[in-house]
Amino acid sequence: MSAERDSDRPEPGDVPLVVRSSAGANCSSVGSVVDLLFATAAVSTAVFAAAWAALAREARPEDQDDATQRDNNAPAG
Amino acid sequence: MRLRGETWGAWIRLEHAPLLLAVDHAGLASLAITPPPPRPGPSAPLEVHVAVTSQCSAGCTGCYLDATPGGHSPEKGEIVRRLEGLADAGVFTVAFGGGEPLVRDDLPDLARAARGLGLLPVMTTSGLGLTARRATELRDFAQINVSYDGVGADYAEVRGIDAARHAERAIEALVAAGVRTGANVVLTRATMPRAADTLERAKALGCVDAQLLRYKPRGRAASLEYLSRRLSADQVRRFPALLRAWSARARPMSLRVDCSMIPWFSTDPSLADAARLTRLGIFGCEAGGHLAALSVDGATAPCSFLPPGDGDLHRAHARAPREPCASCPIFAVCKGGCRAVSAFSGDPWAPDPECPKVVAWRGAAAHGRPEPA
Ligand code: SF4
Ligand code: SF4
Repeated sequence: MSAERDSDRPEPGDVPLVVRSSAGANCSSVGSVVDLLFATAAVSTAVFAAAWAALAREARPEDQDDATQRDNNAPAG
Repeated sequence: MRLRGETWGAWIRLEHAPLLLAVDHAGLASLAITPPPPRPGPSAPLEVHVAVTSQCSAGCTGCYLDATPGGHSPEKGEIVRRLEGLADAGVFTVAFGGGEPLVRDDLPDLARAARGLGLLPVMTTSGLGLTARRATELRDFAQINVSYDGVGADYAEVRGIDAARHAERAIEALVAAGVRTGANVVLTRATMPRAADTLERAKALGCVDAQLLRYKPRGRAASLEYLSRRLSADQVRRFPALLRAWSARARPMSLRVDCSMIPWFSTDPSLADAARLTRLGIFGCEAGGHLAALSVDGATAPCSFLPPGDGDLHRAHARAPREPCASCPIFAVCKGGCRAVSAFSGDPWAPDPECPKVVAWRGAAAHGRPEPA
């Protein structure tokens, strides 16, 4: 998803739009976890719900640590 | 969490789970999250590969960088300046590579510097010479992947050096040190039949994930030998079914595929679903999009397999693909396959010549038959 490629993005209505496992470590090509591709719809739905709940927890100001607040206030990233 | 505003909402990296989320404006509003305004122009990459050295003494036959023992390692201050630039641009992940990053003794400092800038540092290594003490110094990396192309002789088949046991010891040392560790597994024609065993061994060693990689014709691998080492057409055809079986057997270890493998999904209707691939954050060719690379000299490239450039041509290519990609249902994710493979075949903007759909389309066109669906 980028400013030039908005048509690539999924339809709104579900949150989050995209869940990507992000800690992979490869220094050449970019890797993507495929486990959920083979999971049932119920498992995928549960993962999206869990990701949303985790985001909601981190978004609560009282639960934010210093690093979170610093990042939240950082310009463009 | 770390936020980056986009025209459609924001990318958010969670602090307490290894997840990157895309959330639209309505979702952000419902959680009272206010991202910074998006920057003008194309979005910055999500991930940048940072070559911290071009030095390596392993001499792997397929090294895509052509790294040598006489390679060069920029000063720490120079690498930190590059990291600052990436953090300012809104990049989330920096993947250190080389060369062999372990030739640097300041890796812990670089990882800490990246963390301090809000970047998530990860690293790829051959693991050669990684001691238990050294492994404990690398705990600031969010993940380290060790190149592990097969058990015993399979490793030597891919790399031309017999160092499987060294890689296994490195994985064990990292796992023992509490570092989140993965295995990078390059698939070649000779090693693919035993890939299940390789993945089983990676799981037994304690890897949290295994990254499957396509063998690519770049650096020392860009030779005629590539044609006999790449997967056969039959192996490519069987890849989706094998991936499903490997994924089931690998649990709880996760499986990753690299961006260049997405064309191999095209003939399996259950995988060739662009909306689903997008929702699950599965990336095809992101050269010039979500991905960029910084060479050891500091030059920017759309991907570490491609020559320097700012990615404009790649973004233009993604807007105007050729057939059969233009009418392919997964083009939005695949983007026409791997530019490095297409470049090796003579035209960097041609559809990936190893995509089964492209092969079928060209075959039909050559015989004047209607194009296959
Ligand atoms: S036809 Fe093109 S876009 Fe479709 S899978 Fe093949 S290379 Fe990718
Ligand atoms: S050219 Fe594209 S598909 Fe190939 S490795 Fe680079 S980003 Fe991945």
